Amino acid sequence: MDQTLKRIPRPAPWVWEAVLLLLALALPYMGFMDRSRTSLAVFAGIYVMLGLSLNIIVGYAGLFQLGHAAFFGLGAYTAAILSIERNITILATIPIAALVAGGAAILVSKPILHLRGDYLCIVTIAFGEIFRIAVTNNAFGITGGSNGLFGAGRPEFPLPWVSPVPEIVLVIILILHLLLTHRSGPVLRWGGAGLIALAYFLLPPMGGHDQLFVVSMAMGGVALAAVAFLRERGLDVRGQMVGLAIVVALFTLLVAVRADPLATGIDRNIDDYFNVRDPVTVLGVEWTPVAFKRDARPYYFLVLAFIVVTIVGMRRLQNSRLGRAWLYVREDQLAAEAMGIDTTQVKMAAFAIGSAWAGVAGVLYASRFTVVAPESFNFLQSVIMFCIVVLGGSGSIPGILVGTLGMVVLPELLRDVGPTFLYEGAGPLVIFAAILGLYLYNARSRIGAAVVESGVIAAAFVLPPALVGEPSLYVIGMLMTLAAIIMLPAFRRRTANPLPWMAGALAVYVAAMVAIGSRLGPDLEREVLAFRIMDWRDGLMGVAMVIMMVLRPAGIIPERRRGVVTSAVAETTDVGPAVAVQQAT
Amino acid sequence: METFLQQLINGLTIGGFYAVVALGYTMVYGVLKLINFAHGDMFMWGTLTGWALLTTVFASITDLDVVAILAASIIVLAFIGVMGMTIERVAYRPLRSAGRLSPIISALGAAFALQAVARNVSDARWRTYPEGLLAELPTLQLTNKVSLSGLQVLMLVVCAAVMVGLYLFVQRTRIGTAMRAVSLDHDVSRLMGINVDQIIALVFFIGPALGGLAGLLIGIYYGSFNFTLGWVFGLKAFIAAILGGIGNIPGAVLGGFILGISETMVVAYGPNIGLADASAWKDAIAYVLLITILIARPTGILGETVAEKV
Repeated sequence: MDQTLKRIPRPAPWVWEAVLLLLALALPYMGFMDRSRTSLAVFAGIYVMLGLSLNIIVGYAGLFQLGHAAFFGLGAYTAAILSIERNITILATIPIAALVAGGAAILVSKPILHLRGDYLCIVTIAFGEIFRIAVTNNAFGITGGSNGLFGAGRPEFPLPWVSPVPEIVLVIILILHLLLTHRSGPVLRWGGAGLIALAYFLLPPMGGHDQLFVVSMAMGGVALAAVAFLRERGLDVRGQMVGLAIVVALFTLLVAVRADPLATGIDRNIDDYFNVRDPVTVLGVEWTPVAFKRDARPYYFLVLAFIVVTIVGMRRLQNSRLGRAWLYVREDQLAAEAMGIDTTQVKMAAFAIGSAWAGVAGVLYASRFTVVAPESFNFLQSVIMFCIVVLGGSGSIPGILVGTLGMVVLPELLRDVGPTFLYEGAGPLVIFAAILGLYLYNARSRIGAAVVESGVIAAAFVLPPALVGEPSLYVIGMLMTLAAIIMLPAFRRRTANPLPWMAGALAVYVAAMVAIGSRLGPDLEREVLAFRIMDWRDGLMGVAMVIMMVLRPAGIIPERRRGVVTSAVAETTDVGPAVAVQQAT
Repeated sequence: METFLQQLINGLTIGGFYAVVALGYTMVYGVLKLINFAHGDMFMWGTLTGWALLTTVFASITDLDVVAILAASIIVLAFIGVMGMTIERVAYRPLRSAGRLSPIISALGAAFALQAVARNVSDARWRTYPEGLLAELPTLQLTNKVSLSGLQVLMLVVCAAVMVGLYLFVQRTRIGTAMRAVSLDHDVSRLMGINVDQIIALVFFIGPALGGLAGLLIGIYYGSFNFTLGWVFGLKAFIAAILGGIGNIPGAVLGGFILGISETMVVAYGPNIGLADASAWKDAIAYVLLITILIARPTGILGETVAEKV
C-alpha cells in the first residue's frame, strides 16, 4: 500500500503559532482566569522574556550564565531609580535600562569571556552575588538597602485620540510599512501607504467618535502584520496588496456597522483599567497621560506585546549573520575561529544583547510591582531562568514557553492545590495520566509492549487503594510507578524481557499493600494532610530537575539545529583534553 | 600586631574548613569536569547529621564527649559518603555523555533537593550544638592577647591530617594512581584496565565524606547552623579550589587558607581602610578574589599551564 496515503497531513507551523497567539489574546477573558491568575500570567510573561533573553547567551552562543538575575535587577533598579528620583515615566526608561544592563554586561564579560565554560559559570554566579550584596548593602546610597525601593511609577501612555498622538502613530506605521515593502514596487509601497493613511483618518469622522482612532491604529497594525505574513507565505505583491485591502475594508465595515458600541467600549475600558491624568506639557506639546491601574489585565497585554516582539526579533536574530556565527561558536569554537569569526566579539554581543533584554524585562517588572527589592534578583532567580532555558530545550523558543510553565506557573498553581488533591476527586486520574504519558513518551516501547506495560503501571496504581479501600494509598502508588519508570531503561538494558520481573514486583507490591495497607492508610493520610507544599517546593523542583535531565538531557523540546555543524569534534572537546588542569585561556 | 596574629589564627582555622570542602570539589572536578553544586549541601548535611546524633543518640555521654564526637564523626563520614555515591549514581552517571549544560542543572537540582529535606528536618530554624563540647581542651595562651583555643588546635590538626592523608593517598597508592589516570582520560584509563565507574564512585565517597566531617567540625566550632549554611560555604570553597588551581590538591588547600585569612582580615581591618560595614560585605570578598585571579592567572595559583588539545 502506498505509504503516503496513510500519512495524516500536519498543519504548518504558522497554524500553531496563530492558534497560540489567539489563545494568548483570549486568555485573560477565560472563565478560570481570576485576578490572581491573571497576575501570575503577567509574572510568567516577564519570565518568558527573561528566558528568551537568556536563551541568546545560553542557547544560541552556548555560554554559561548563572547570574542573569543581576542584569534583570539592573534594569529594574535603573527604572525604579529614574522613576522615583527623576520622575521619568517608566516606559521611557526602557532604552536607558537596556543600555545600563547591556553596558554592564560588556564591562563584566570583557575580562572573562576567554574562560572555559565551567569557569564562566562560576564567575557569572560571582557577579550575580556581588550585585545582590551590593544592592542589599545600599551601594552608592541609591538602592534602598535590603528593603529595596518603593513607589516606581506605573506605565503611562498618552491618550491615543488627542492630537498629535494619532499623527505620530500613523507616521510610525507608515515608516514600518515602507521598511517592510522596500522592494515591493510602487503599487504596494505607495499605494498601500496611501490606503492605510486614508482609512486611518477617515474612520473616526465616519463613525463620529474621536475614540475610533484606536480602531485606526489597530487597523494599521493588522494591515502590517497581514502584509508581512502573506509575504512570508510566498504571495506576490498583488496578493499582499489584496490582503492589505481586505484588512482595510473589514475595519471600515466594522466601523460603519458598530461605531457607537466600539466607542463606548473603548471609553469603558479606559475607565475600568486606566487613570486619565491631567494634561502635561512635554517638548512644547500638551499630552494627556493615561496610567495603568493595579489591575493585571492591561499589563498582560503589555507583556504579551513585548513577548511577541521579542520572539519575532529572536527569530530574525537567529538566522542573521550574527545568529549563525553564534551557532558556529557554540558548536565548534576553534573551527569558527578558523573561519574568521571573532569569537570574543561574537560572544560579547550575545552577552550584551541578552543582558540588555533582561534589563527591559526588569523595567516591566518594576512597573508591574512598583517595589524593587534585592531578593527578587538572587541566585535562585538566576537558576530558575537557567532552568527555563535548559529544561525546555536550550536554544528552542517553544521550549522556553514550556520551561516557564514548568518552572514558574506550575509551582504557583500547586500553591492553590491542597495536598488531598493527591487522592481525591480527579487528582489521581490527572497524576496517573501524567505518569503514564511520561512513561510512554520516554520508553518508546513497541505498541504491544507499551499496552502491557501501561497495564502493569495502571494495576500498580489502582489495585492497592481499590482492594484496601484507603484512597491515600494512591500516594504510594504514585511514588512506586515513578520509581519504576526511572528504573525501567536500566532494567531493560539487562534483561530482554522485563515483563515477568515487572509482574513479579507488581504482585509483591500489591500483596504487601493488601497486608499492611489498612494500617498504613490512616497514617499516610495524616502525613499527607500535614504536608505543606511550599516547604517542599524547592526540593520538588530540584528532584524534577534531576529527573528531567536524566530522562531528556537535551530538554523537553530540543532545538532543531542543535549539532548541525559538527558533533564529532564537539564530543572530543567534551571529554576534555588529556590534562586535569586545563588551560583556561 | 597582636590583633593581627589573633586574626591570622582565626583565619587559618576557617581557611582549614574551606580547604577540606574545596578538596571535595577539586577531586570531583578532576575526574568528571563537573562543578558538583550538591557538595556544599552535603557538607551542610554533615553538620545536620552531626547535630542530630549529638543531640539525640549520643546526648547521654557528654562526660566523654571525645568518644561521642569520634563515634558521630565515623557515622557522619559513612553516611555522607554513601549520600555522595548515591547522588552520583542517580543524578550524574546517566548524564556523563550528555554535554555540559545538563549535568549542571542536575547538580543544582540535587542541591535543591538536599537543601529542602534539610530545611524540613530542621524545621527551617537555627539549630545549636550541645554546649560545652570539648570545653576541657586547654587553651594555648601565646601572649597576653593572642590565644589558640584547644578547639582551634584540634580543627587545624584534623584538617592537616585529612589533607596530608589525601595527598599521600592520591600520590602514593595504586587506587590514587588510578584516580589521577581517570582525571586525565576516561577512555585510556578504561583501556588500562581501570574500572572508571568504580573510581568515580570512590571519589564521590571520599570527597563528600570529608566534606561531611568538615561540616560536623564546623558545627562544633560555630555552635549553631541552619540549612542554608551549605550553599554559601560551598560556593566559597569552590572558589578556594579555583584560587589554588582546580584539580590540584595542594592548590585547594592553599586557596582555602588564602580565602579564610582574607575574609577575617578584611572584616577585622575593614573599618581602618574606610569600609565601615566590612562584615556586611564579607561574602563579596571571595567573589572579588575569584574574579581577580581569573583575570590575572586563569589556571589558579598552583595550576599548571597546559595548552588545550583538541
